[in-house]
Amino acid sequence: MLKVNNKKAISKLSFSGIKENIKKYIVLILAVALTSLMFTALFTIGGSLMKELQLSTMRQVGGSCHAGFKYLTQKEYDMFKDDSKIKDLSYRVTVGTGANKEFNKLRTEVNYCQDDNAKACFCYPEVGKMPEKENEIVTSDLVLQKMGVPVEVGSTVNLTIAIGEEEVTKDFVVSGYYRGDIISSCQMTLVSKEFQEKYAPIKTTPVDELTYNDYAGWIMADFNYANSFNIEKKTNDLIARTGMRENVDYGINWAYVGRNMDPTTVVFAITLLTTVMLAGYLIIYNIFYINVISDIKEYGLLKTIGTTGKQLRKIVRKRARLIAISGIPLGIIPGILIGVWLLPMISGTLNTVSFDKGQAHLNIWIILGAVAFTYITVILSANKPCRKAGSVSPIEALRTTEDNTERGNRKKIIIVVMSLSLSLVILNTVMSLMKGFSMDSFIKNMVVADYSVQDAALDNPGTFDKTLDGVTDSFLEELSSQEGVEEIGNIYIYDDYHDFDDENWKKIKDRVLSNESILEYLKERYTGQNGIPSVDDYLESLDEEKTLDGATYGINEMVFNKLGVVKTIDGSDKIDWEKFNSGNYVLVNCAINSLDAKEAELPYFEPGEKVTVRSHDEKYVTYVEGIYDDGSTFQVPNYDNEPVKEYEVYAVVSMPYAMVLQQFGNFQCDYFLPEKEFLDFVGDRKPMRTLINVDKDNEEQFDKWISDYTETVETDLSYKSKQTVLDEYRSFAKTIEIVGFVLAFILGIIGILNFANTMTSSIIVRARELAVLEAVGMTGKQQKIKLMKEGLVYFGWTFVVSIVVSILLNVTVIKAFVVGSSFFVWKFTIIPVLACLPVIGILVAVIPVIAYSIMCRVSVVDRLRFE
Amino acid sequence: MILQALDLKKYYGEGDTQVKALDGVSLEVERGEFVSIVGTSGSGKSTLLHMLGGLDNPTSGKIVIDDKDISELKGDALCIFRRRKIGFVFQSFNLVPSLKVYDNIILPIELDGGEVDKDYIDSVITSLGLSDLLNRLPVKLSGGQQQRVAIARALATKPAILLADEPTGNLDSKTSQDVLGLLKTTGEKFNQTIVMITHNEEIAQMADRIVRIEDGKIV
Repeated sequence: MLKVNNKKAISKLSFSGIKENIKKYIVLILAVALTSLMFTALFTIGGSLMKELQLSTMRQVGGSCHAGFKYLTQKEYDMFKDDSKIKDLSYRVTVGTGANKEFNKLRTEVNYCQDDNAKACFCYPEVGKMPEKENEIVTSDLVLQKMGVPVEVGSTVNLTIAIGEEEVTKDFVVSGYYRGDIISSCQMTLVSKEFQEKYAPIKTTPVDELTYNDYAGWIMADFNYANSFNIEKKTNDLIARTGMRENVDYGINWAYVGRNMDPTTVVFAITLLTTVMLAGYLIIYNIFYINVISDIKEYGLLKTIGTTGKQLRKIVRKRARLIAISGIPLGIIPGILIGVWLLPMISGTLNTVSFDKGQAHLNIWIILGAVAFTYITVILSANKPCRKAGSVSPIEALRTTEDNTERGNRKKIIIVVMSLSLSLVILNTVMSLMKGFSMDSFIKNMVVADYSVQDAALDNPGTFDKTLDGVTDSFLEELSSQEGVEEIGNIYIYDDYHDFDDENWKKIKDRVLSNESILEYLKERYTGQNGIPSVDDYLESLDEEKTLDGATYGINEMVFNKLGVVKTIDGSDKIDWEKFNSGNYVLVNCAINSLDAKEAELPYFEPGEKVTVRSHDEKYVTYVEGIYDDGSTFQVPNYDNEPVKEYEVYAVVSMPYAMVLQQFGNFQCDYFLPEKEFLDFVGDRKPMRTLINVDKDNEEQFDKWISDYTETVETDLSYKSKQTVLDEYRSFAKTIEIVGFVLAFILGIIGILNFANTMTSSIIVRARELAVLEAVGMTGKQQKIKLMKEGLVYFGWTFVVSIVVSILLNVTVIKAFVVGSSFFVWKFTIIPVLACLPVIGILVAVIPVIAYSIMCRVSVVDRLRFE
Repeated sequence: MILQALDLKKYYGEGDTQVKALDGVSLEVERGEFVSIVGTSGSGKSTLLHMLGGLDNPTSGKIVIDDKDISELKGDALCIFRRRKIGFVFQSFNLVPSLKVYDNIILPIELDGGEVDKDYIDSVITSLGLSDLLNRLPVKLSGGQQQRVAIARALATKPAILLADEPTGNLDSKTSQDVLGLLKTTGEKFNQTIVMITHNEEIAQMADRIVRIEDGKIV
């Protein structure tokens, strides 16, 4: 076949067609812009949240570099520093750790950092400058607050730094500070090069040749690779390539390691993407198709004069591309704005960083992603119209003005009805969820008392080393002198693990470890790949140890009464405090423990069985002397002398989420003892949490006291009131609501636009037919009524489809979702659809009339003449 | 006298670019008369027909049909007058594609909310030889058949005048003769006034009277 260069002709035709019908194509361009807007908003939100989660991981880890080598000597550092495959190399030199007592709960490292390293480790001063003189430091606002020093440059801090075996106490001047995040595993305090060289000179002996453990004077180097793929392999290659010793301590930043995405999130993301794509497709396809149909004469003419079907398809595809190119940029900026507007609300419901939360992290990939998705949607939407244009027969094209066959009509109706219904169905779904968002069940799990007081970091999921006995005597004393306190509930905890004798271990194995849903759950985590053990390996290791993670709680009567009861020794569903408090009984929890007590299942032990609890009292701990290679000694604690005591299981219970130690492990096998028994046997400790009920009359005054007290007197303590939880709930509900409304609104606009476009096109295409009707005496009023009736057909179908689909979704998907969730109860509603239908009904009746009136600006005679 | 046009003028544009489509046309037609208006393309004959049918308003002048001055009527009133008093037959048939033949024919009556005079419609249908085609859609008909349906539709309301705009323009010569023959005989049968425009002399000859128009003026 001859290859003909017809590019120019095709281009010319594609352009001229659009220029001639610019009005028609403006609608299409707007549709593309709307799609691009939705995608950009979605990508802005999604991308920013991902970035925020990554940032939160980085702040936990303490750096943004891909990888790093730890504990290096200068010589070792020089070995790899010029490697061509690494970049952004920077280092810090370890000096010591903060040893003031204030740092017990706020781990603080002291280092010298290169500027770039400080930036990479989130500790470059945001105010002030890096330390230069020996007595200058940079640290976080959190450290300064903890030390009770004004957060400003020039403040003086008296720091004690543990450097090796020694402690150095000096007054330092703050030369700069940065915002610290409590989710970080430690706060960084930076000293000058001068200080580091004086107190912690860089080591010269490699770390593996040293026999003692010393944190001071090591080079910690961080660097990036060209990209973040397969960092571990790249690091191993780097070690091999540079001849670095094989046992070098290296770190992989797990913020970059493709963590297993939560399947719910993935499904949610895919659903959103598909919805937007479908919505975009519906509108673009429809308008495009109508445009092709109304241009069909042009295509027929082109075919008559020798344009092939392939060339026609090319022309249409080229037009699609031109439209995409003009429409996509229009949607980007508004899309970003909407995304930025919604972001803080959505981020607010997630646990990520503690400052700069909900900020947009825009990058070129977000925009490119949105552009790509919009473009694909446009091309997909243009596919069918393309084929239609290509397959047109010249004669047919000259004769028919519109696809007026019944099939064509049905197709148009389906598209419009689908896009109108989609918006209504989504609105109804969101509203049903909102209606079913149960304040009661939320409160039952999240609010167990008017106030809950605990260590400030206890409920922060980012904190690793939690203080489990944070409620101080001084606070409890102050509390007892407050007016209006009705009830106080202390929750004590010793969190470690429980060991079991053979008999009890067999019970656990039979009941829990061989349970199908437990195995299912474990299979997801223990894949046996990438160095993760397989389920069998994991179970084998458990079998060897015969232990499970678990805590021993000490509770008083108030807390006792808040527990959910699964089953008891006497078969009733009530538990009696007096009996429990006798000291012979223990309560146990369930392996699968839904928040609703009734649904708790899989108890580790049944009522009436015996379990042994280990005392963890300090007085039973003995110390054995250990000896380092160089002859120095250290103390090893030995718990062998801790006594164990046997208790009978009184009941299987579930503890509301707001009371437990909020942590996450595979198994959490908890025992509950009465407060007195706990303190006597397990050890004298302070409460992890104290619950307080206050009478109504004193609520306001108490609120003020506790807020002041935790902010000024004991800043380590935090409180959570019923009110703050309720506010949290409301903001969560609001977020879902706003996002749902925005989505439904955009989809609604798309539906209406689709309808308007279909109607308008149909009216324009039938201009002559309508003119004929007018010529034979159909008045304007009659014509308008006729068109309105046509619109009402769409309305009728939308009415039926949206109601039926909404009801179906409501009783299937929503119901299923709600059953698995503790915060929602299933509520049936169809009111949102019913409320919106009249609006749509009016629009559906009015739009054709408007379109008709616009058409009527052309006189009957001209329309009759138009062929 | 059923129709009277007095000094009709229709000007488009202004100044140098002004086009005088009609420049002082006066015309009278008697009841039952079959008049053909002949002229070349652009002579103004279509414009005249549109004026007579109330589809377009003259710049100046007066049109009286059945003793009613239609230049005074506007909008829906004009439309209602049109469907009661005027029947149109177009060159391109202009049937409503979604309606069957019979429904096309009685459409003007239904639009007016009137009762269908069954006997009259039946005799029109019979005269035009459409009895077997009543349940078909227009696309299934030949050009000649479609035009006969259009004539039946135009006659359905027993109009004062039937206006035909190049009714044979889209038909071959044999069919043209047949259709026009039917138009003439049906017109005579129902004593129907017919005004037809055409550029075809041979067709024009079938009328009782021929009016020639050139450059917007009757000659």
